[in-house]
Amino acid sequence: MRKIVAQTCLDIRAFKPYCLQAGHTWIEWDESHTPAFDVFYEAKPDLYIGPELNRPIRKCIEKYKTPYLEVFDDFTYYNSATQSTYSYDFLIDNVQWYREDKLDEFYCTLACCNVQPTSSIYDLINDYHVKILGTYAWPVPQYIGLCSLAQQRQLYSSAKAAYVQNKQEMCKAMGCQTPVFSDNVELLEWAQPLSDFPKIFENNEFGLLTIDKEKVYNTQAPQILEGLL
Amino acid sequence: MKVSFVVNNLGASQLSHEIIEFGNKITQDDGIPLLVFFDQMHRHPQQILFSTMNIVEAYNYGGLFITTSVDITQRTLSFPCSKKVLFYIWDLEWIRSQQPYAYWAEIYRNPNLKLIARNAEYAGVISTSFNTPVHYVCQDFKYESLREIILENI
Repeated sequence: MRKIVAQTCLDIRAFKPYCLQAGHTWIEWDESHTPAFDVFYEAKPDLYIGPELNRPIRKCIEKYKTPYLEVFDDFTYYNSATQSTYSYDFLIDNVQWYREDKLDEFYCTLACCNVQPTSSIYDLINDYHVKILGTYAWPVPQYIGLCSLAQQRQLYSSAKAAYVQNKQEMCKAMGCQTPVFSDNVELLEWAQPLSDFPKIFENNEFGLLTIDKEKVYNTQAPQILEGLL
Repeated sequence: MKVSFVVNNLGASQLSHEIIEFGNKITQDDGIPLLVFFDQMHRHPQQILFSTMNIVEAYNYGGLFITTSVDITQRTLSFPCSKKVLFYIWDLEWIRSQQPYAYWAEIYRNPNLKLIARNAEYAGVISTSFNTPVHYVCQDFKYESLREIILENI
């Protein structure tokens, strides 16, 4: 059993289920609350996972000879054991984003959450049962306000499909095992090489591309953590 | 037979005009004593033939409430004597206000409330947005249909 110190950062929790399942101790750490020296002194971790190393963390890692996994904002990971960089995408936070039972409250054909208004989606609003929530206030009656993460998860789980515009929302919807619509070509190209689970095909009815997801699991975690645990 | 409307104010507005027209008619023609509770004191745009009181008086009022906005409905539901509350949806308020979804859902999906939509289009939008049934449709305080709704719920 190893001790893992994980600093809160983008998609870091994606590793958590895998590590806990393997019987390791997971210590989540927020640098803004506790100094790096204190955490490393108290926990003496066997592995550090976190964003790009800063000076105090680097000093601690050198002092305690801790192997580490650096997580960069562009979805690349540096493994100190193999001294190689991985660029795996779709590290979905399965702790936060999972499929729930369908709720009548959120049932709809197309769920839009935290997406900006675009002309392509406006065409669908009157023809389909669309629910829009999130930070972008749409000037349409289908926009029903801000939502919490739990409500967003329930919305995605209850919807037949989700319309997304960015990687973050796409990962969330896929975590909830919901088919994803998008008209963002770059996003779909980004998803294309990872054809293990998303299959992309043209949907002529809407003029949008559809990603039909068969299974979403954090399958990359063992490969990224190779040699560290 | 106690019937009351609860409004933000009875100042010059289309809503106030419709309520006063309806209130005058139901008081005169049917002899049903109507009360209107208001939150803010405004000058009435036309003569009224029924009683008006501040909303604090509604605290112990045990009759039928017909509310006209979400914040007023929320307050009315907190009154200990509010047994029956009808929410007349005059305006789709959530379109212009960026409140959390839970704020709207608490009212529109409240099982203790009966919803009256202003027209069929509003009823459709409300039922699809909140996945909740709209119990009645009453076109702009149309006298006959609203009177029927009141008599059914009184």
